[in-house]
Amino acid sequence: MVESTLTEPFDLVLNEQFSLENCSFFDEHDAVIFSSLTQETLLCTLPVLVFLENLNEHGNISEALRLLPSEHIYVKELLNQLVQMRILTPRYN
Amino acid sequence: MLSKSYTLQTGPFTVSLESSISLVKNYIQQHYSSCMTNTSDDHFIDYHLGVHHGPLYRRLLAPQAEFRLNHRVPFKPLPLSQAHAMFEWGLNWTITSSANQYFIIHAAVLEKNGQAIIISAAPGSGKSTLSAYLATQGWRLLSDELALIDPVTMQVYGTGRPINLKNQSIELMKNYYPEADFSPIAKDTHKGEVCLLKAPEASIANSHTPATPSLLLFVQYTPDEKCHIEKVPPAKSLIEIISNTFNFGLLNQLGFDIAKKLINNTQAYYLEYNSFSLARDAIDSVMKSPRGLQ
Repeated sequence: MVESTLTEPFDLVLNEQFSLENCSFFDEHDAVIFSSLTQETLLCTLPVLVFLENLNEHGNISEALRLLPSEHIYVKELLNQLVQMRILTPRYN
Repeated sequence: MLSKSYTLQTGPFTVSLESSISLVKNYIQQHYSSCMTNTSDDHFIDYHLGVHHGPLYRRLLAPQAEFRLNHRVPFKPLPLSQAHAMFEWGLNWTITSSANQYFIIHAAVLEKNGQAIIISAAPGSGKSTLSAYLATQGWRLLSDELALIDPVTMQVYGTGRPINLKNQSIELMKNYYPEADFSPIAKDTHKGEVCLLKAPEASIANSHTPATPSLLLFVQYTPDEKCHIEKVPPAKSLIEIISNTFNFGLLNQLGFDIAKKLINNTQAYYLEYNSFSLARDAIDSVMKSPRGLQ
């Protein structure tokens, strides 16, 4: 479960309209994620792509987050960015 | 002042232009003489453009020119002395805001032996100047401003239009082109001094012929640095190309698919240059090597 400034607790899940296969690109070092909902792109490291793949496969953000570097600010910024791009969407409990 | 009408074939576009301004009429006669075409009434015209005098009350003190697209005036007028440059800027705007059958990159395109280089760079990085030079070195210039990628064939089209030179590059190019190919200089524009250089005849004659992109080049003119070329990784190239594409947001998923294909089909390099001949040699060496420089 992700803490936020919102009063209600929520999980983050992949937006149903986001297709990881169609909206990603990667080379040996970096990945590009594209959101067809906001037309934004994000250049990121490969672990971010692996995180999204795991979230896509298992739907469990806690498990998927283990793959990301542990720096709290980095993860929080990344999740915020993916929410803004509407790749991740909050699911309220 | 009598209006004169022209029909111009510029790359894949047929453009009708009407103007009552002597500066524009002389410019078209000089720079587009090989693009003029006679069309029958049923020939499809892509764009109906006009460049005319501004409001009557301004003519005595500060005469102006206004650009028209389909008889509408989309921009504020500019000083009359910039009328010919305004035509070029207006036509660029018209194409980039409506030719969405193409993936349109803000980039120069040149071709040799069927292989095209797409030179993408921020304004003022030396893209047009390098293109103008390469066009004198056996490269065919397709465009110094717009790379038009066909989403189906992935071939790149240009328009064979004049090269937009700015500030110091105007004098530099006088070493390579005859005086008659340079337009009057438009002064005090938002880009400084602007001069339009007539595209080489071979470029105009083959402006409708596309080429296969094989090299993406991100350039920067750096007078105090040595010439330097290095590979750009695919993911970073993709981001760079997308940020220089006019209609990426509009094409959306199709745009992302085209950009990915373009990156997969090409090598990408970053070139810093301070010498035209060294830049040319660096580009030639990359083009000759099937897998690029490692």
